Amino acid sequence: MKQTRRDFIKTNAIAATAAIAGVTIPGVKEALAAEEKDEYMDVRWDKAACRYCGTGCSVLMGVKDGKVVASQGDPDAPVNRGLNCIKGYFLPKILYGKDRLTKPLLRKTDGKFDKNGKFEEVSWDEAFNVMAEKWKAAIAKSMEENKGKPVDKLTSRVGMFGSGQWTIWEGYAASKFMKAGLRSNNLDPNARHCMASAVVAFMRGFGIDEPMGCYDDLEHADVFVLWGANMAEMHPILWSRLTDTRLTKAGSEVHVLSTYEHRCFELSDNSMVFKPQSDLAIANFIANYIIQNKAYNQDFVANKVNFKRAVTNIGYGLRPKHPLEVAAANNGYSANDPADPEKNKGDPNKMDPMTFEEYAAAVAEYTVEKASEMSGVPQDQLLRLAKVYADPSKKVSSFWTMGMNQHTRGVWQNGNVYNIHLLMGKISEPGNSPFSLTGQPSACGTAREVGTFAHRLPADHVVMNKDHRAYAEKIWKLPEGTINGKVGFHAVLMHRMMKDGKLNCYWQQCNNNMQAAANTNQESFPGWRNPDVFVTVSDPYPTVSTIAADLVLPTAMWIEKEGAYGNAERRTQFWRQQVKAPGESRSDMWQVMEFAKRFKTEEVWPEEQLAKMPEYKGKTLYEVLYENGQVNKFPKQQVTDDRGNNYGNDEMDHFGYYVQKGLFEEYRMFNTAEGMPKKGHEMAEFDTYHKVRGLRWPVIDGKETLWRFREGYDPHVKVSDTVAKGAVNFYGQKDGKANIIFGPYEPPAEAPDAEFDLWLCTGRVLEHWHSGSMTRRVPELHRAMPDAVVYMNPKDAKKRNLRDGSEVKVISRRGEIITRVDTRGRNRPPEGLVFVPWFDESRLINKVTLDQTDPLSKETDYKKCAVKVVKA
Amino acid sequence: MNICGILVHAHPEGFGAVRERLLAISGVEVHGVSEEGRAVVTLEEDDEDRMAESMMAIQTLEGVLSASLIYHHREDDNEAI
Amino acid sequence: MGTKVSDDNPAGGTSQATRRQFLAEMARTACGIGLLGLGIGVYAQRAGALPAQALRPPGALPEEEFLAACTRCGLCIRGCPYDMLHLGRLGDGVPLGTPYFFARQAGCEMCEDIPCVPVCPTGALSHELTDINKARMGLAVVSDQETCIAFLGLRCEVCFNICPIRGKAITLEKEHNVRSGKHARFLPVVHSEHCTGCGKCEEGCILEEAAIRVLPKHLVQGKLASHYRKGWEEKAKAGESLVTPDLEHRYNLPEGVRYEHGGKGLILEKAETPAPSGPADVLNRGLEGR
Repeated sequence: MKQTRRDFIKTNAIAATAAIAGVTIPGVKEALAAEEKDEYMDVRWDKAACRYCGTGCSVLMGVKDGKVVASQGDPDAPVNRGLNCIKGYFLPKILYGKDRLTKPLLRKTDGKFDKNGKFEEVSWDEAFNVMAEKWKAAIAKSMEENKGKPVDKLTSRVGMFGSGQWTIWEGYAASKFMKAGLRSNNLDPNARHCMASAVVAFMRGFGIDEPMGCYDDLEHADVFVLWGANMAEMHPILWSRLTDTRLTKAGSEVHVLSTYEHRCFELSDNSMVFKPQSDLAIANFIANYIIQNKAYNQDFVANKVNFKRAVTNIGYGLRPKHPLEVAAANNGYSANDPADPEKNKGDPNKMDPMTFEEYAAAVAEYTVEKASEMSGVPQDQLLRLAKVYADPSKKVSSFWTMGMNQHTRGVWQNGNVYNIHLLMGKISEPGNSPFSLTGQPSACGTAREVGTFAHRLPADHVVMNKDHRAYAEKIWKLPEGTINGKVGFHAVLMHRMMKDGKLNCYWQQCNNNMQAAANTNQESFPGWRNPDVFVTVSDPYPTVSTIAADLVLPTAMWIEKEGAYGNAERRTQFWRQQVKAPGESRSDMWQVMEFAKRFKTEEVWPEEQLAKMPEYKGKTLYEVLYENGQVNKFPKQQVTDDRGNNYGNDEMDHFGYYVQKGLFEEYRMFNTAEGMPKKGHEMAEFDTYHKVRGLRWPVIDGKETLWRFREGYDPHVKVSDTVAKGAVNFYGQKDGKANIIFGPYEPPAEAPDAEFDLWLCTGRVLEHWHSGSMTRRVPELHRAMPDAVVYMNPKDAKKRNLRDGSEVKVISRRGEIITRVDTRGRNRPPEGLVFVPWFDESRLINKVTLDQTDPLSKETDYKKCAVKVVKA
Repeated sequence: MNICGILVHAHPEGFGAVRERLLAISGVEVHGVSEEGRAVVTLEEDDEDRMAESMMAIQTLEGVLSASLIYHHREDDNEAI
Repeated sequence: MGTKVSDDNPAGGTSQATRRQFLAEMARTACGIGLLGLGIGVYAQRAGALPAQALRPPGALPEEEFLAACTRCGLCIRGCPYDMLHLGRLGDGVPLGTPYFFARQAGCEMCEDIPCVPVCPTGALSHELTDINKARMGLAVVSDQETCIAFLGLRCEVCFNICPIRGKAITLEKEHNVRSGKHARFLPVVHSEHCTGCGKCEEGCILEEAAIRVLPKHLVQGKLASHYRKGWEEKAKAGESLVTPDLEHRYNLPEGVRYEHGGKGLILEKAETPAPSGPADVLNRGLEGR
């Protein structure tokens, strides 16, 4: 017999009281036993990719009566074999925070939208009406401004900020809506903050994005080098694999480079704390050492690489009037030439060819003495590191994440590490792997692969390339010349353009940029609150972003919708919708597609475009983009698994066709349709992924690819005149050769001085995911790591009359926060540097940070700015 | 939802009358009593103020020697139960 | 008998208190009196002994001496900037008026200046304690390896991360995970030499019931038989073998096989490979023949 929850609690009350009273109440024991059994009977188990990091663990979620009641690590998943980190352990709880948003909220006064009004509940209809009115006004203005302009000069006043936590089809649907529908390339993901530098380095070096290796490198390497990745906390399960190899493989070593001591130092055989920015010198020293000792792989260097020199003096991605940008010769900004307003300064992306000898000469100045002096790392430790790279018998895997990507010279530094691997030919084979890890669960699968960056189209195609645009237009059945050829506003630029009134509508989905973006006080907040800007935020929970928004849309999260993520080893993983979202929450994809219904083609495309395909006249963007015979190709069906369980699919119910399948299959056409300009991103069919624990692309003839670019492992590489058996071919580049690109040391944008005398580095912690909007709603995680503290060297604390636990202000030229000093915690900075995690919405460290970026990748450097710490 | 388990100690001989007085309080159920007069009582009351009043009422009830709160469970009723 | 409970219920007069406080207060009193009602004998027996999970502030004398010295003045509780110390009340199971804390509720924050100690007027909290790291409030113990998720192979380590005596009082032993085959387990191990018993690990433990607990030392700590020494430690202390070191051992072995006494034991040399014997060879060889 089934009891209600009330009955069950009452039974507990009776049992507890009876035990003390020494009274036996008949039936109580049995009722409790029945409930315990009942609670876990009839639980339906199904797989999903973990909601958090780029590791991509698989989890099994147990659902009963429409609620997730149980969870476990997936024992059949190759990544994690049943394990989870502490965040993964509490996954079900992130769905059931008490303050889930369940209705759209609009700022209103006297029943009308008012930027300074108070949030009031509104219907979806009203929400989209107000939003569409704002968007249409901005688009009309853009169309006026774009009159007579060629397609590669178009601008747009509307923009969207997406996420590496979007599911694959959400990103794809949004990319299509913005780029094909609204002709706006102002679409960028939060992945811009996270691994844009890695992307640009992949494109410059190899002509194709994402790592060549896979997680199996963790078992095959002899030596691991961490170049700016605290894997112990940020990739917990990968770290346990790396640790296991270190423990069980004789002769294996771990080298850790960082600007402060963190958890990885516990396992390290060679611990190197270097001065911020000097990693550039260290990498070039290793290249120099390899060349000086003639240890490089001569055959590989002669046949598989080209040498290039990066243009220097490229600035720091700050606003054009910043003195550092005025001084920069090659930042690509306007040259301010009255005679020629179109004239720009030198292009920072430019590379000049050079010879091996010229490269050798360029790195020659980076001697061990110089590298040691610049970095503060003792010479013997640098030599030990150089020797493991230079030893042809040692397999070396290099790992990095934000420490290298969030760097004003992040692209160069990514390249400098590839240079080392390429000089030795230690690449694209088991254990020899330069490996850029991703922070987010679908930074690869969504942000990168389906084209959600301001310059990208699906599957590595880019908006600047005419052929790529034409190919996308063909697949999307658009009039020729629809896709805007001008790169849109990137993440940091969006906030500046909002502040300047040039971006008037902004829609943020699946992240929390008000907390995440640098320089909150001077850029983010004034941008969002500019009266000429209308900001929409889609989120399951109230966040700092929703507080600063004008319209808040309640959003279905994670397994409340059918989804797919792609992890850092190119593994694409699917899940089915497990439960319904609360209240009126809707998925990001539903929101985008429904919003598309509000736009008629005439309102967004000029007449001459429509004249090319008059059949689109009078149609909505929804009809043109999604009811195009491809996306709506798969009829409504019951979603089931092989055990006969049934699953919901709210989008399918609403739109009347299998939306996720249609979007994914159309996306696949970018690697199957005739005339494709780029290969290498092949995916398996939609249905396959629901049956497997993920597949690593390229998937060709049902087979996944573990190591790319090497004959035997990668089906794209065939034996030929230039490619021997088992040799590599970097087919992303036309001549099959990767680029070794010399990037020298250049100083950071802001360094400590007499007043702001400390380096500030920010980052994450094991217990919390990003801005904490999910993990801070899990009481156990909150208790384990309640507040962001400032980790400080005890000597620095003493100098300032501070002690562990002292309340302090962390102050920069841009803002300040109040927090407490921690001198004995997990992170141990050297003298002169402090570390503050950014998960804590009550201590917004990005009020303090500087919105400097790598001028090539436009990724913010969150690891270096100058602060002072004083008693609060 | 507020559910309390209360141990009520009364004189065993007069318990019949005490039981009736207890049951007169809204939300009270009596589940059993020992030979020594220790009774297992539950109190259900969604309103916290009224629950406090009911508990006071049990303590001051004629014939009740002591009343001890043994178990208290409170949760929001935002889901159907 | 026959006295109504409410007659001596102090809560009756708290008309200004909020409803919630009132409710809590009344429930506590009711429980206390309830226990008395169950039999004064049982309660009286308990009164002298501290419940196992109740810990004393830093510097507390051994329990019997502490009880004799403590005047129940409550100054230490006022001195605590984190409000984690409590005063024993009727029904808490803690001698009335004495200071204690439950680690699971809130552990000691281990202030460097130990503000609770100097205010103690009698030295029940010993003023000799000036270094908080020397405090011994209790001893942590991983009490349940079956539920501790680190033992299951999950990446948790909250107790390790939250421990103020970082890397000393709790260390992580890294161990191959036999079940998964390719991951390591990070197992928390408590070291009594450094553990202050502050209780932060138990407070932070993310399980529904903590798998690491802080208890009075005598309830936790084992003791080796007094005759037994750890041979490896004695050898390290002496700097050499206590008994004449071994002669060189020699073995009958086929070609390609070595035997390391006191090391790895039998070693099968690798088959010949084109790879050179060591990095130095390669580096010194230069480009000839490549």
